[in-house]
Amino acid sequence: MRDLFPFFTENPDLIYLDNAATTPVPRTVIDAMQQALINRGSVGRGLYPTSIAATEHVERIRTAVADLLQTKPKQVAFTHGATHASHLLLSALRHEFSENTHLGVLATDHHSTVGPWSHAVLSAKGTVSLFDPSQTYTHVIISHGSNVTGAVSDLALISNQVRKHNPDALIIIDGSQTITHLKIEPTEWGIDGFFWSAHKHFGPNGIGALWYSGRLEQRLSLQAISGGGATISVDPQTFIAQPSATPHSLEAGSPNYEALCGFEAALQVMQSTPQTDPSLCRDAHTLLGQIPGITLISSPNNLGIITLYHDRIHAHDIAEHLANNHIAVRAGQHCASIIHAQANTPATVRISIAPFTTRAEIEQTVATITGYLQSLASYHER
Amino acid sequence: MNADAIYDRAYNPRFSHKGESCTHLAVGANQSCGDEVTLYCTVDASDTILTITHQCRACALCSASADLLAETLCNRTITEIAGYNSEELQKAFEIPISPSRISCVTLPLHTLQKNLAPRTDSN
Repeated sequence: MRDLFPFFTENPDLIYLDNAATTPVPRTVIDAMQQALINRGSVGRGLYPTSIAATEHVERIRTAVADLLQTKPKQVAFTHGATHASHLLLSALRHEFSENTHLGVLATDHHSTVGPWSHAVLSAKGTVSLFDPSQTYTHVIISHGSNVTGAVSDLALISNQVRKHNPDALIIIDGSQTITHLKIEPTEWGIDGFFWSAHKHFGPNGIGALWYSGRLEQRLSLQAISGGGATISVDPQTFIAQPSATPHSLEAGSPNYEALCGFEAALQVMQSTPQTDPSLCRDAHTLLGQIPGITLISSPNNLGIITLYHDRIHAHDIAEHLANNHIAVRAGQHCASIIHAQANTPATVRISIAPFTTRAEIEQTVATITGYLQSLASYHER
Repeated sequence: MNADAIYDRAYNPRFSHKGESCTHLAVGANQSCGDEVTLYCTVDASDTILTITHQCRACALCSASADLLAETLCNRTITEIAGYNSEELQKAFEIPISPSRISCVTLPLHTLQKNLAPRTDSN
C-alpha cells in the first residue's frame, strides 16, 4: 500500500505515525488535482465546455459523498474543512441562542467546535455542560471519535437520549476521526449534522463535506449565511440579499475545484483500501502501555489512536526524540484541553496508525521511546 | 548549555521550589504544548530582583530555561529584565532548537517580562 504514496518515496526513512492529524496523499489524488488545474473551468458560472464539465463534475462528487453517507446530494455541502463546517453552522444558528439554550459537549471534544460554540452560547447567556443523558439540551455538538482517546460515541444512543427530552434538539457531529474507519450512517443515527475534512483520509487540505438533516436544512435555508456570485442575489432597489437554495447557499465563492477533484480521488482510495488492522491497533496499545513510567489516556480502539504520557518526561521531549529518530508523532494537547485537565497532565504524545503502518514500525517506536527514557534515568539518579 | 547540561538542569534544578516569601508571582503557560511555569520573585524597594525560584510542569527546554534564568537574572532590575532579549537566552542553548520549540525556551522569560512591572510613584 505504501507504493500508492509518493510521500514514502520522498521520505523513505520516516515512520509516519501522525495520521490522526493528517494523512499522506496518494499519487491518484495528486494526479486528479493536476488534471483539474490543467482543465480548469469556472464552476457553475460559464457556458463553455471546460466550465460545463467542471460544473457537472462537482455535482458528481457531491453525489459520491451522498452515496457514501446513504443520503441525498442536496443534503451535502462542500466546505473548507471540518472547522469551517462547524463555524458555518454556528454562524447560521447563533441567532437562535438565548438564556434558554443548553449546549452539550464532551470532555474529549476538539477546540474547533467546543471553543467557538461555547463562546457563542455563553455570550447569549445560555448554558454549556458536558453531555449528560439525563439533561435537556437544545444543541449538542460533539466529536464522533476522540482525537485523543480514540473513544467512539454511540450516536444512535446519544440521539435517542437527547430527543427523549427535546425532540427538536440539534445534534451536530464532527466526524474527522471516524470517517476513515467506520461506516457513517447519519440518517440511521437520527443526527442533524456531520462534517469532516478530506485531509484526514488521504485528501488535500482546505476541503471537506457537511451533511445536514432536513430539520437542519430548514434552519439553514432561513439564513443568508454566506455570499458570493452564485450563492446570493441582491435586490437592485432595496439591496435586500436573498440566498440561493441549499447546498449552494452554503458554498460561498468560486469552488476549490482542484481540491474537490482530490477529495473525490481520496474517497476512492479510502473505499478501496483495507482498514487499519484492528489487531495492530490493539497490540500497539498494549506494547506502548507496557513501557515503564508510561500512562495511556486512550483506550484500545480501532481508530488507531494511542495517547500516552510519562510521569516525569514531558511529551514534547519524547516527541522530539522520536522526530530525531525519523518517527513522526504529535505532542501537546491536540486541541483538546478539557480531557488533558481531567487527566491532570499538561501534554501527551499521540501515536496514530494507518492502514500502511507496519508492526515493525510500532516495535521500533516502542524501542526508541524505551531507550530514550532509559537514557534519561541517570539524570533522575543524580 | 549542551544537551547534557540542559537535561541536568531540567531534572536536577537548582532553583526549583515555591518561594513562600516572594513579593511577585509570575504564572505562564504555552497552551498548545502544555508547558506550565510559575516563577516566584523577591524584589526590593529599588526594583532589583533578589531571588527567583520556579516550579515547572514543562519540557526539558522550558524547565532548564526557567532554572537558568533563576540563576542569571538575580541582581538585575525589573527594567533590565524588561529589556532582556530572548535571543540572548536562546544562545545559551548550544543545541539546534526547532522553530516550534523556541517558545519552550522563551516561556519563562516572557512570563517574567509580562508579570513584572517597575514600581511607579503611585505604588
